[in-house]
Amino acid sequence: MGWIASAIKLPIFLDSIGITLAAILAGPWVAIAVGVGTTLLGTVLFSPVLWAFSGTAALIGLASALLAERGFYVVWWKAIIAGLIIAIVAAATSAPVSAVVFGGATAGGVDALTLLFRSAGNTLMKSVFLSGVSSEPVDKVITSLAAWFLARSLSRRTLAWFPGAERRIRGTK
Amino acid sequence: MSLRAVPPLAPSSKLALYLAALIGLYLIRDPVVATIAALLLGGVAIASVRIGGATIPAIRWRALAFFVGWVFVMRLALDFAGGGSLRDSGMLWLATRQAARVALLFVGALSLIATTPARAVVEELESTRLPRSMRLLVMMLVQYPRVLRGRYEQIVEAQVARGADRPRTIIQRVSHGARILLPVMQSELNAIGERAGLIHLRGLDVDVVIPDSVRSRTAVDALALVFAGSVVVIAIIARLIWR
Repeated sequence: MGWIASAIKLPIFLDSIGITLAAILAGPWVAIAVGVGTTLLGTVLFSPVLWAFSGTAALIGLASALLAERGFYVVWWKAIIAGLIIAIVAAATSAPVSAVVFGGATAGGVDALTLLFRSAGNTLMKSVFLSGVSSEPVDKVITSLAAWFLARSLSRRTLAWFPGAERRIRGTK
Repeated sequence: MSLRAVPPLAPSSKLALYLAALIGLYLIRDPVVATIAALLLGGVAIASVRIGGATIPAIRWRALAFFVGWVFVMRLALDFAGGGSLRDSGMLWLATRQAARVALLFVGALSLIATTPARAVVEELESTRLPRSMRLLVMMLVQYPRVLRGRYEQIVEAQVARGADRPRTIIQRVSHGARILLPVMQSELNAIGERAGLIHLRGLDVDVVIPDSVRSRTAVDALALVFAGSVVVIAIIARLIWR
């Protein structure tokens, strides 16, 4: 999904559905491993600069796992709230990387938003953060809902492979 | 001693050198010095690819040119939007420095990928104390891009041989690639997960004592690590002195 969103220059990423799903199913360590693994794999396959966002992906995994543990993926509207919280985490952690490492340019659709906020008189860091805060909620809410839907669609037999997943998804002990 | 006679660096040593070069470059404040340093380091990275007999596909170079150009223009546009003047040479140099930094980030990663065969990563992992399930996951991960690329090319060639059109535009390749690779990825990931899970469940996930004779790291690797550490320390000291 992230690959497609990037190729057609959408101002969203959709690259963390797998991370959030891993967090719901298998907890924080697996989610962090999936996040870092995804960015490293993406570095080799798609973009050699993607590894710079490994920390962001790891924190998205950690935040998703903590929210899943607190029952945010039991019902759809809580998944939306989880998406909004993850959006703030993602924007706050990716802004320094985008601003310092790439000078505010990511070659994605969000660059237009960064330019807009910069022209409003904000500093580079603040502009990148604001563009992240503007675009991430849409991205992460879609991501959270997709992960919630996928997790809910799994059979009980499949969920039995992941200790605690049933409780995190259905709220049952 | 010829260059080819020097034992190849372990992947972790190459990674350390790459990261040290990047940290050093990002710590250089002066735009002219940073740009010259990026050119030199980029030259070293490209030379290492040539010496190693590896190649970087043309599409990667085009992506590099596009991305670095984008960073340069975007940085100029951001500074201009922030009230700067395009006639200000300082602003142009800042954009050049940013583009040079990103160019090294890109070229370094490309050369690291090109000169590090999956086999070398696997061999280095064999002599570490990482848990076996973790080693298996990393090994599969480093071999995965080649597996996917190979499967994609095989399937596309087979389809073209049967009269199908070859996907050419980026949109065609994205949709076609996703259609082909998603089922492949699903089956491969299932296999990896099952193997790692089995190792863990059967209690094989234990520390293994590695004899010194099997260790893959050499004196050259130790030297590379010392050099990488020194570069970072010198760059930090230089940054603190020339505030």
